[in-house]
Amino acid sequence: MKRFKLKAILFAGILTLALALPIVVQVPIDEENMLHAYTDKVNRLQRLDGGRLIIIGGSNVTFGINSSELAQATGRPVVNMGLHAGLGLKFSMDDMLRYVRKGDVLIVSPEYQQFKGMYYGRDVLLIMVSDVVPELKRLIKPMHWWRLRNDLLPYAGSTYGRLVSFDFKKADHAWSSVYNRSNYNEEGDMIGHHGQQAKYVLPRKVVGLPVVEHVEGMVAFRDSLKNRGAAFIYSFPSYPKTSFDRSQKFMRAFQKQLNSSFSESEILGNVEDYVFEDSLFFNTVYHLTEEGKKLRTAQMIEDLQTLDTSN
Amino acid sequence: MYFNSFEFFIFFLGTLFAYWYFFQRTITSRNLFILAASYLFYAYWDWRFLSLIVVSSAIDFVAAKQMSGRAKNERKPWLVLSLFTNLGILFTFKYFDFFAESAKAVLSGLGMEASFTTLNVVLPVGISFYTFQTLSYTIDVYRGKLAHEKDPIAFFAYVSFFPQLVAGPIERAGRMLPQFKEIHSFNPTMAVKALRQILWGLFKKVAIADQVADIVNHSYAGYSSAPASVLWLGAFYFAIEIYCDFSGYSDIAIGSARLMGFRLSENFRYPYFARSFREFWRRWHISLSTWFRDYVYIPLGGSRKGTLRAVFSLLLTFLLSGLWHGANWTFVAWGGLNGLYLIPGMLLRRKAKTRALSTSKGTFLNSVGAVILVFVVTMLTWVFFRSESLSQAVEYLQNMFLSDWVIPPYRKLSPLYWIAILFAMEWFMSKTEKPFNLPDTWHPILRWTLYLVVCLSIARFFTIYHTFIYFQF
Repeated sequence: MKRFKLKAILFAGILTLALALPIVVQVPIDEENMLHAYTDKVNRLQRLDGGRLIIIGGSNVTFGINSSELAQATGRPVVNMGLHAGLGLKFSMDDMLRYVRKGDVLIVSPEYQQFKGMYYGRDVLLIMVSDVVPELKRLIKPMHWWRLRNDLLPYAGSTYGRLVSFDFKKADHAWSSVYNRSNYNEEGDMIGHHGQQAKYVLPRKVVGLPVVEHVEGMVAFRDSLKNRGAAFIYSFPSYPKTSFDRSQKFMRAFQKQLNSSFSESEILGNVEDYVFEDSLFFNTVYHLTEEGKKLRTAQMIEDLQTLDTSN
Repeated sequence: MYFNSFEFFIFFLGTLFAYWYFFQRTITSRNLFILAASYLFYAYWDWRFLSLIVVSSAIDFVAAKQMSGRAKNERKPWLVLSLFTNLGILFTFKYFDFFAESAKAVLSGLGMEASFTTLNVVLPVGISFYTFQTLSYTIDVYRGKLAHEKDPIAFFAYVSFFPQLVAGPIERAGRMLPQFKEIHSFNPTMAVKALRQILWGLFKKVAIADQVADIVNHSYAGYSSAPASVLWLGAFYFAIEIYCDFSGYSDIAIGSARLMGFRLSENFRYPYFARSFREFWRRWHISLSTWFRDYVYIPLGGSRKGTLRAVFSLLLTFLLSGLWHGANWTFVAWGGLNGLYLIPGMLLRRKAKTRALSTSKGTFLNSVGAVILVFVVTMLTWVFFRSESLSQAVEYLQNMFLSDWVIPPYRKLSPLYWIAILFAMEWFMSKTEKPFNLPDTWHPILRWTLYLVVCLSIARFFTIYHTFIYFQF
């Protein structure tokens, strides 16, 4: 019995240590990994003066917006800060408050999942704050860490996978040759998929209702921007028609929630305006093809001009 | 409180500690503790449904007691009371809406308008499992195969024993109740085996089933427009998912019970290595298959009353087994098809022209061919099980053969490596006594490294977003 107890404690200790190690120790990831594009985007942000147009969101904004066209239409330099939905809207907003200056306009376009379970981020956020830019750890408050508790295990496990080059996510990224740092242009848009053939995208369904607390988080962000003399604009993410039709209940509730939380001049268009044909999506329900990107950008410009007129 | 959650980890660790340190003085106090822990475990889902287990246990305890020492015709009313109560609860919560809507559809098809009230109640977790478990007790007492249980605490603890409460194995009272009367002492060797079984169960559930679950969900969500390759992959992954999900759960349940000194029945015996459908059903969800054999198939006449009757009994048993899984015609179709697959073998055996396929000794290639054939047919039949409607299942199967082929992205193919590891390990394990029982002749460092790798693989794919499929039944 005593021997069993000792062995059990020893094994539990080794396992705990093995799981905790990747969180404490930085295990650098490949410089070409897409998450390193964060540094490039922040550098551009810091190089530019106030009056910038900053886009926040997950990969839907990197795949689906042509920042040069937006800059041309608005006369503002654009920085597309979008990277990965798994970083969570909470982190993206908290991080952005460090860089906002008077006169900036922020377009926030999170994926619909940010108003379900992804608001606080997933294991991608842990990779970002542990292995890509460790100083970002300071942005994660204790309550935020608590929300990430279920992602600590997959993060630790995948770190070992990465160490022995057995991580299939990494392999997938290498295989598709799209998710690389060098595939972002100067403004921060993804251009690696331009000219590539779209893959089949299975329709999805956003079930249930949006989490009110997460929409309120965005309202608080809007208020913080106002205090800093910056403007907030919400923009719907692009979404395929079939998936949209399947998610009607969520979409209606979400639009209603937005309308009651923000003024008309803070929302770009309607949810339906950003629904596109399924064939315009590259490899997920949020990633537009080059052609889809043109249509979405044109729609945004049109909606921005309407906003300007009404203001 | 799912087995793959932190909540269960904390709950089980605390329970185990208290169980061995504080509640071994008397059998009654130990059983009382098991009962309290089990009710707490169940109440964590929805405390209101606890009343169903309490009512079901109480009626069966009283009914069995009343049957004791009486003639068979005097025992019958008590058996009827038990059947009526248990099946009544099951029918109300699980099947009422299904039959009301089916009747409405039939009448509507005949041009008649009918309005049925539906209950729209939430299905209590594990209701089909504990109902069948407690039913077997009263039926066995009625048949005189089992003496009634005098100790209510032992009986209530048996019905609600938390490791197997929500998804089995469905344990017979004759096997389990005596264990609630035994003095248990902690056996380190058994504990190590139990921990290995839990570890292997978690690996199957988290690293395999949960990994492929999203791909399966996407395939079934997009069945009408997805390419054939994605649909085939979805069907293949679902066959793997349901096996790893359910057998993984069973391994965790058996291992957890074993850590408390209880021996639960084996529920899976490497079913995808079966060479015939008969063999498959002797290896898949064994506790349910044997339950239906003993309480439905044999009472219907089994194979004793002629070929036609045997075929009828077999088909009815499988149709009911399908319905047991869920209130949907898809489950009935799945059960019916599995029954049909067994008929040729049964007829051949009855005519004594050939020996049972499962026991035939063919060449290695024949065996491999038979294993692949059984797997592919089983995989295609799972499409009915996974689909939301019969029309979806038919369209899914049609599109598997008629849609275009597109090479799926690497992301969808990467679980194949893990599945290959799974089958290689299972092949190795099928030669050993218990799952993940690494030979003692291996150096401890090698064994510990392997355990650590499995633990890290579980961590890699850990997610709170997938529950156990069989919990819904």
